[in-house]
Amino acid sequence: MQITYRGRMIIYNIAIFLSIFVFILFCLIQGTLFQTINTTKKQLIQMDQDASLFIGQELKSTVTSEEYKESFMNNAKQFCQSIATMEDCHTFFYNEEGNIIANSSSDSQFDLNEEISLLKEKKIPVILYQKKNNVPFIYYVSILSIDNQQLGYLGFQYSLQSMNNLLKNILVFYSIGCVIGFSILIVITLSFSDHFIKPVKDLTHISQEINKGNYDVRIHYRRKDEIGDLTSVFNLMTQNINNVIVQLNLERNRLASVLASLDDGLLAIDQTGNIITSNSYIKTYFNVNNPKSIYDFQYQSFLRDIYDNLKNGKNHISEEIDCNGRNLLIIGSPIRETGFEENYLMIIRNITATKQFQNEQKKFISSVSHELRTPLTTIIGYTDMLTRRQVTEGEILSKSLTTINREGHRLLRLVDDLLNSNRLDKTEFDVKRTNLDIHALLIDVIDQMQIKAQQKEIEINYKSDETMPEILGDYDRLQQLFINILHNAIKYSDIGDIIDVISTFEKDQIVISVRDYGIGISEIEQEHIFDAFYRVDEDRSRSNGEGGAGLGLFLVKQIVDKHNGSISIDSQIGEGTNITVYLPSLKVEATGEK
Amino acid sequence: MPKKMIVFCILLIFFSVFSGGCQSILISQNEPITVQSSFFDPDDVQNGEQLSIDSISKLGHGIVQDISTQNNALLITDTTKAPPITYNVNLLNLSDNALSSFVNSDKQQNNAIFDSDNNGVFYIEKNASDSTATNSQLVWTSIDRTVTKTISNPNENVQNTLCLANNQTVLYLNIDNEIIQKDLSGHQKKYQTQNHYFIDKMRYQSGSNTLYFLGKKDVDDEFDNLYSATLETNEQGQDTNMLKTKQIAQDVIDFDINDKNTQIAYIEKFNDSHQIVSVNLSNMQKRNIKKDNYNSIIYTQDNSHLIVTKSDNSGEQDQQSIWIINQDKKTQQQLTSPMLISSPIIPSKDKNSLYFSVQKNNSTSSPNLYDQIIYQITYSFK
Repeated sequence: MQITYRGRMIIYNIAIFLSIFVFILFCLIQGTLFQTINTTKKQLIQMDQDASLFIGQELKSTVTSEEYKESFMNNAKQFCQSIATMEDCHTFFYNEEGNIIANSSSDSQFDLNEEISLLKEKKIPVILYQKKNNVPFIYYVSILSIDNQQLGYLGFQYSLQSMNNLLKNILVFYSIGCVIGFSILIVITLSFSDHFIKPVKDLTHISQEINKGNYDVRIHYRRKDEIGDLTSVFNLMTQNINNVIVQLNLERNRLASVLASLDDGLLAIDQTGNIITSNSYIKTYFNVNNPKSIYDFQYQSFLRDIYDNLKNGKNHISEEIDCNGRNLLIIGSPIRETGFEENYLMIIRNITATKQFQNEQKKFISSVSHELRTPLTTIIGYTDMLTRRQVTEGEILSKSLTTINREGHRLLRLVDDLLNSNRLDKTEFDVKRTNLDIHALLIDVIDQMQIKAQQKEIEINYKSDETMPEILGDYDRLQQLFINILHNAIKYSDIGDIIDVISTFEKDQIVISVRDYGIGISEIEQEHIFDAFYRVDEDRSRSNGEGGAGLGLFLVKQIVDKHNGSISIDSQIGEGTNITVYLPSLKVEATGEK
Repeated sequence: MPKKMIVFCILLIFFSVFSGGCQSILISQNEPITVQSSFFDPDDVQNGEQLSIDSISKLGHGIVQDISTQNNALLITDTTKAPPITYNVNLLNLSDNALSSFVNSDKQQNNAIFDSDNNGVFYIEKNASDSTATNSQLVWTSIDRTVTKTISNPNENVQNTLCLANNQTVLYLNIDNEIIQKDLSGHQKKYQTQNHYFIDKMRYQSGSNTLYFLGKKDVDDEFDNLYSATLETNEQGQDTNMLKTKQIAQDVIDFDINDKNTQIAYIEKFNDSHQIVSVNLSNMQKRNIKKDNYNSIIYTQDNSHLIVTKSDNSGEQDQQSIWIINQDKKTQQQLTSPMLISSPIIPSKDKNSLYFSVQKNNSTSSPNLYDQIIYQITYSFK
């Protein structure tokens, strides 16, 4: 049977109490016996002295020293009675031979021959502690001598009945006291054991709370004792654990934030394939919610393959995978730290954009190469012809030079566009802003484009609100913006078409729309119309010798953005195109700046 | 040691102790043992001089009252054993132990003391049959019994307390607690203590003309205090001189002044015991001598020792033994066995002898018939 701690405490208390009770009782009895017997010894010696003096007084006052012995023998019984009365003690005399000659009580029978023999030998009083009929006695014998004359032996029988009575009383009262004390002890122990156990119970309860993850609990114990020290240390430990856990949570959240802010997907996997951590890109890339194991990726077997290869000892794995329309680069590597088992990390990087950029870059280089090559081929061809054939004919020479000049300008415009597009890409692109009248700027641009429009018999109509607020902008850039738009409108218009240019002030914005009625642009092409080097119809634009490098509208978009404006395109195949530019008025900008 | 072994040992010890019960394990039973010398030879004997009782004599019958300054006679009081009862003051000649009747009448004579010149005897005479107010008087009778004078004033009742003073005067106490100093010519001085003390015992110190006395404010007080007062006539023309008393000790049972008038020794109550204290009168410095059940105290003739009586705890009640105490070494030795001492202890004035009376029942048939035996003990130190 398992006894509880409280039960053991009670049993120990009772055992200690009973042990102490027995020990005190033992000391009490033995101490009383020892003290009584020693006190009796002293009393008997005093009685011996009293008796000797008494006999001396009686003998000296009646007879001469020579007659002491004879007188003593004659009066022994009388002396014995007188001494017994005087000392209230049973008295007896022995003669020198050890025979009893007087006894104050004829009822008392005892044999003290052994004691007399010892007395004769040692010459000092002898005592004997003996019980008769359960009554303890002390027998005392000593030499009786007057003026160095030995008369015989004197003896006392001293009853210790009073000591017996005292011991009985002690036992009775002590037993009563013990019963009362034991009862009180039981009551006190039962009630105080609860009191003493309470802190332990509190500790258990608090420990259970902590086990549940509640680290804010504290034990309240005010006393400065051992339990107080324990609870203080326990509370301090709980507080420290709480602090550490808060710190860990903070670090975990910070790590989660870092992981979440990563542009790459991340998977950390342990030896058994359990996911240690992952971030939100995993769901984005693989459409798996909160994966617990590598085997939760049922349709991404390549992940398991990489995991198996890492487990098999490969140090670094890098693979490009096409998954769900994305180009993903998966980099796998083991996580090794001394003292910890090996885990594995997979970084999943979306390289779709990079791939597209690379493609566009290839296309760009191809386009630039092609655009540069075409005029240069023409120029080189004409210059070779003029050099080898030594043409002197004026018409051929003039035509050749005109062609060389036109291709040179084309080459120059291409280079300018490249330079501008490159410059606009830079953040430090310098826009020299001044107050300008958009109405005057549009008239200026339309005037410049009239010559080109007239070559295709195209009429440019311009309409504007009467009052137009000024805008804050770079005159040259905005002029280039609208030239490029009008240039495209003219380029893709048919001979004899019209182009409408309308400028209005709507909702604190200057809205300029350029509408042509040319071939129009498909919806797919509209999505890429503002991309660099994107050309809608390469064959047609190039056929009339005015096909650009695909940078015109790209530059338009860049300039609009630099002026905090926006641009939209509305077009249908065969019905023409309407490009609308929104520019903030000066009033709005000033308010915005404030 | 294994835990079980320790538990077993503890249980064994407790079983032994418990089974021992009331058996004494410190003193063995049924086995004779000698008493150790520390019990048998108390320090008093080992460290002091060895007392030797040279002789013990029974001098006669009666109650010893005083000894003459020449150390040749004892004053004895006695009564006749058969009616008519008469009260005697007798003289016991110490040279031949001859007893001579000094005063013999039906009046109760007691407290007899020799006068300072041994020319006569002062004694209190009480006439029990006299119904008048003055039935207790101080009387002086010459040694040759030719002259008897009533010393106390007419119409004055006296108490049983008296002592000798200087210039052949006697100090006695009247019923009004007034102290009267009077000579044989009738010249008197009357003193009154401030608190009208009830005085039990007086001793006069001639050197400083100081009276030491045991007194109490209330007659029902259990114990006296020891006071001193210089006998000065401080107010001219006043009939009674008021004494300035000074308390020396509280709860005093008995006291005595040595013959050199340099020390006073007294017995005071001390818890459940009685303590002997000695006071140097020159600087009033106190010195505790010993504690026991002492009852009376008196200096020996050479003032080197104190004679005390001590109650015996065992045996008959009121039995006292006589002890001699060396006050320098604080040791005591027993002179007599416990006896019913019925008189003051009177030391000889020129030798190591003590005189005292002991009450004894010499008749087994009549337990209430007592006899007063006068003892003389002569002792010496080796």
